[in-house]
Amino acid sequence: MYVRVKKISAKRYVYLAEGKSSSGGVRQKILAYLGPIVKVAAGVPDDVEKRVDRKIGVVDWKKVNMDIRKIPIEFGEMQDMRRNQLPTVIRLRQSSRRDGRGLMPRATGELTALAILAERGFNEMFERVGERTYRMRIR
Amino acid sequence: MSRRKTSQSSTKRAVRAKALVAQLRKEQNLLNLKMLLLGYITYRLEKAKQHVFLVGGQAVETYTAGQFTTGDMDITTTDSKATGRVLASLDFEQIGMIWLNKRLGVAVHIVGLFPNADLDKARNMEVGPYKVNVIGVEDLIVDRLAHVKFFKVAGDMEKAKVLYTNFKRQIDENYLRKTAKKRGVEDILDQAKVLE
Repeated sequence: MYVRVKKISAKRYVYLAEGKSSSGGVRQKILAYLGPIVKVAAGVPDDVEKRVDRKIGVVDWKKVNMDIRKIPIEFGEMQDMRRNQLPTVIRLRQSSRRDGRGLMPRATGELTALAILAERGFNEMFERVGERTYRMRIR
Repeated sequence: MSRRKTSQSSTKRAVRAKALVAQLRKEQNLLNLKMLLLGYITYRLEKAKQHVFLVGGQAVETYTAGQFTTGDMDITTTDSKATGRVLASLDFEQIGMIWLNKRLGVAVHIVGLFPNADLDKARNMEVGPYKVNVIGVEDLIVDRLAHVKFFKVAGDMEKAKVLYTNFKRQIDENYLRKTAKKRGVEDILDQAKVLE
């Protein structure tokens, strides 16, 4: 049993498939649909796992999730994943641990590096055209 | 203006809003998307002689070019009802205090009343054909320090430090100290001036 990705009109979908040998060679058989790649890239949701287990029997989800994680994600899909996770981000922001780092301290120099990257990024993104006026460079 | 003309112009506006949403859907960079969206909201409100400013986490994200990301986009406006109408025309739906556009993956939070900040300190960003007003760095630093002191949001001290470090040559020190004193955070202001 293995993970199969199909591209249908610019979107990629994930399936569970298996190879069946027949007289003419090996034929691929789709066993179950798991969902769009943007919804399963971070792990197959519990409800999908249950549905598939009911349909085809017990599946090694650890292996399936590991195989899905090996699929390279495209930039547009990453953006979609971020959009899908927005309600989670809002929920996290509303919880007490707002910075998301918990109590983990920064490594020495990490904040300096971050400030340098922030300054460089801002200068790349915005051109200063007046004392307090900037022009955004939209690529 | 006749009723027919009013109806025609509002229909045209609705069509433009829908076209903008479709265009923004294609935008790959989320910060560009948010800035263009806010630019359009600003444009619509300024036509009605109202103002809108980007504040909070999204302002930090803008000034740090995305090094500190945020979930929703905090804005403050002179007319929250008119702002709500503009957001509704852009297919945003209201969920509690948040306006959410699921297609764009953008959430907008209209916070409080219009800022009691010095608007002369605000930065103006030209974003394509639009203009976006972003709260001044000085007010944003003081705002982050208030979060640290009064809401125990420890992570906001880092944001204040990075903002101060990166904009110290442009910061109005007198205004910064005066505002910090007014908001009761003068005692931790000096901490923000040392990065590590």
